[in-house]
Amino acid sequence: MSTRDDMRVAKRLMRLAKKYGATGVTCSVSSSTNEAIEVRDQCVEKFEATIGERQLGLSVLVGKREASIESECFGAQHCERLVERVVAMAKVATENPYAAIAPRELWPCDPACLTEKEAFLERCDKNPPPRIGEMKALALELERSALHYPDVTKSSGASVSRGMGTSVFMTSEGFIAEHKGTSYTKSVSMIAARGSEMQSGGDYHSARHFADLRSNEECARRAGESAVMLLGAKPIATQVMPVIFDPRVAVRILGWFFGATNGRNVHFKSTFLLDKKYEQLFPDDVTITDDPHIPRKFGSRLYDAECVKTARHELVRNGRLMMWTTSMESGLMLGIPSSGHASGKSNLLLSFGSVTRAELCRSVPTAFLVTGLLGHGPNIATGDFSSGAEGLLLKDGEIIHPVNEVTIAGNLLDMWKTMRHGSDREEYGSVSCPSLLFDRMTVSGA
Amino acid sequence: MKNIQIPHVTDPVAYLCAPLETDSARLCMVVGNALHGAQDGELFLECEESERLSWKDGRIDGLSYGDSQGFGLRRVNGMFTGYAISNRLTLADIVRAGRKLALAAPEKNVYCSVQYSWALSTHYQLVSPLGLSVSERLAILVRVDEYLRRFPGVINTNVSLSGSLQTIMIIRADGYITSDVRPLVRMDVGVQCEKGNKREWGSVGFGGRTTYNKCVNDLAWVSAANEAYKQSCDKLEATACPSGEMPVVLGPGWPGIILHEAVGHGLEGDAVRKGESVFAPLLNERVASDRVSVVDDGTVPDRRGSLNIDDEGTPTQLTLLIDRGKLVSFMHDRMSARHFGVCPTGNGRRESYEYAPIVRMTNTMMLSGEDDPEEIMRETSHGLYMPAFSGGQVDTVTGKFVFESPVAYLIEGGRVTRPVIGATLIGNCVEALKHIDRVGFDACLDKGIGSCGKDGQSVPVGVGQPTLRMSGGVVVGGTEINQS
Repeated sequence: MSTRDDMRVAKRLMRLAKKYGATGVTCSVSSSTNEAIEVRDQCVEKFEATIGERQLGLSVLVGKREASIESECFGAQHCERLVERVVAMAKVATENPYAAIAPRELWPCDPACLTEKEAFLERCDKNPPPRIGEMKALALELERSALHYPDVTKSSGASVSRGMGTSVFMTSEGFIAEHKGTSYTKSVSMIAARGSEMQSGGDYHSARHFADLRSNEECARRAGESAVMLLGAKPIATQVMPVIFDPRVAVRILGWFFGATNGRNVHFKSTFLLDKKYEQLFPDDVTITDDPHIPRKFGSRLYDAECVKTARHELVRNGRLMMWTTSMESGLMLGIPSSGHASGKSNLLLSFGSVTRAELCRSVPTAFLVTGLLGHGPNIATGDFSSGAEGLLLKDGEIIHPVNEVTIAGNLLDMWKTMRHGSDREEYGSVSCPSLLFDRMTVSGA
Repeated sequence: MKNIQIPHVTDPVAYLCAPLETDSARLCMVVGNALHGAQDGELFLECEESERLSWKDGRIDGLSYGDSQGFGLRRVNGMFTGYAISNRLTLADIVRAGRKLALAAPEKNVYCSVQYSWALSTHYQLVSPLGLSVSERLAILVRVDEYLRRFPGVINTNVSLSGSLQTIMIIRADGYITSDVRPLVRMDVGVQCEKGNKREWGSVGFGGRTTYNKCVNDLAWVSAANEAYKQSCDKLEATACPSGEMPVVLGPGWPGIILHEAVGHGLEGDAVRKGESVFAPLLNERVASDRVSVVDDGTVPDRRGSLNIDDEGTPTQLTLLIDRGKLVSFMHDRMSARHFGVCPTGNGRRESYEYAPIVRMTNTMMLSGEDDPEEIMRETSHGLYMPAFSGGQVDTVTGKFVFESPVAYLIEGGRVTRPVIGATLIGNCVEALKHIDRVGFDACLDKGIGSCGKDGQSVPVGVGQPTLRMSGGVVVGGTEINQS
């Protein structure tokens, strides 16, 4: 796999697009390899390997008319036909008044300095990758540890994977970038049983560097705990009550918040945050940051998919909504600059609270601590939220019994007004969040 | 509309062998060598073309085309699966893949040949949908947009048309070759309405394994547009949904998603084999009233969930899963069929060459019962009527499932009254089945928009059922506490 070959292909596609009449071009060529081992009951159950995966993407503008194409076929003739096709498609498209390719002023730096400037992101683990045998041993040991957790009776499997990708990205304005990245994952899934009742639980972690993967011991403990926690679960009576979101589900709320700030949603009036810029959405001890410059994180980047430079932003400061998140296109729709979010969120963070998780739980006489949500997200247009949930019933901070087969419902705007957050923190994907307490939600059970 | 004769449709085997610079006979030998010592396995060769055109805010919102190609080589020894992929279509890469897998699974077995006795047949036209120019497709979308904008209160529309053609060839380790050509189209019609300072979107889709003819046919897009508009208006009128346990009447067709989640996944042979399904110990037991019969049918003509052969090369069939309340069969790919000593049922599917096949559903449907759907409504003094869902999921280990509905309707005194919003339905598979006490005679499949995700792979599926009632066994979650 060579970025030199990919670079050559990208340059050729760029030349051909201009020859066929494109006035603006964005082109990417990427390659990846991957291996994964899955074990179950201490036997290797699956081994998956990518011998070679290569993909190209081309977006062209003819004036303000645009079209895009993706392909996995790299034959010279085929590529030329594809380019001809995408430019022809663009020529008959309607105009997009917001179509644009980022000019030099919006780039993070001179492309010649990019590699050096990006080095601090440490996308690539320079150590030699673990051998397949080592990955297999790790997965087997992870499964064994998790099986030792009390009341865990059965394994659904454990897996370890490694991957590497390279990518070349260029635009007709002269932006050229190439980079390489590695990724490693570890996961384990267990079943706990008591009598005829079964509950499942698991843990998953991914990191760019192999050494940053959560230890087997810790993964096993988390998997066992999540499987056993729900044994004996039963619904609770329908009522309005305080609800606490464990960080593993609280991170989703941050994700929904981010989606609601999307410039496109604002332009199409399909977000419940419409007209709420600068309003107090949360209590004033809440700050939500999106930081694209944290080393080794998957969400980190110096530039977004439109090659606009990224920056650390406070989306919410002292509880107030400070900005919309925009790409160049959605920025133009709203008449504001791009915030460098054409690739979505980078690393979202909610500030530390001042009370511990235990204190948060004790601060209300009764609460439903949610550890799992089943279903999709809220209605982003209205903020209404309704979802299946499971977790623990608490009284004065003590666990009374596990809960399942209930739904919780509320409206995000109402929920956020009096939200309290803990000083604990967990990271899932690229979102980092503490436990969140909401004063009142409708919990429906038997 | 032109019916273009293109090489990957008329002779898929030759078309897929061409980039490998070989013929099928030589390719069989290469595969046989690469999978030497495997108990089961195959080479899966695929090329796919897809396109999408989307219209929003009075202009084109997305215009794209893509193609992909690649192979997946699978080696099975006992319960071990080795899978290697590449999108470089070269014999050298296939050989390399074979060596890598042989190293990972050094055990040597005798090839276990597959037994089945039904013939291959085709359930959709072998035709490419991708023959319309951008302008021709655009004209269709503009027509739908103009139709919608005549309705009062409409402030925006979002109409899109997608089409794809997947061409596959499967060469099993024993030299058996089979192929399939699979068209798929889909239209989604969305409309946004405003009332005071409230705005809501309504969205309806449809499609199948056919050409864009199906979308252009006036009845199809007009009824989708009408339904999307009604959904948007009802959402604007809707009040908070009550919560608690209550009778639920589900409409025909798409609400069959409840079966897919609550029953279907639990009957997939791999979950059963691993002891991770609540239905595992219930074969030949009564799981529902004798009004309930459920099938998985891959042979329904032109449907999104249908296939001529599954992605292991097994012809699809109609599999009776629940027969008048009794659980009589699971769904099997070759691995679970071998484990249970039965024939595979044509349910081994994969999203693309990038994934090894696992047990998946095709079109999963509850058959018609004998009750009059209008009678069912009249007999229900209070409850919720749910004609549509936006999605759902299930944990097959515990049997718990959840669904969400964009808009539902209160049933009061045997009649549908006002729309309510934010209804989530939660329950347990086994309990929910037992509470089905009325099954209508209006069974039908959904209109062609289902996608099912499992183990990180998504496949197109169909769901269906008649109007039916659950007297209890499910909890409705809304923001309003039920006062009754």
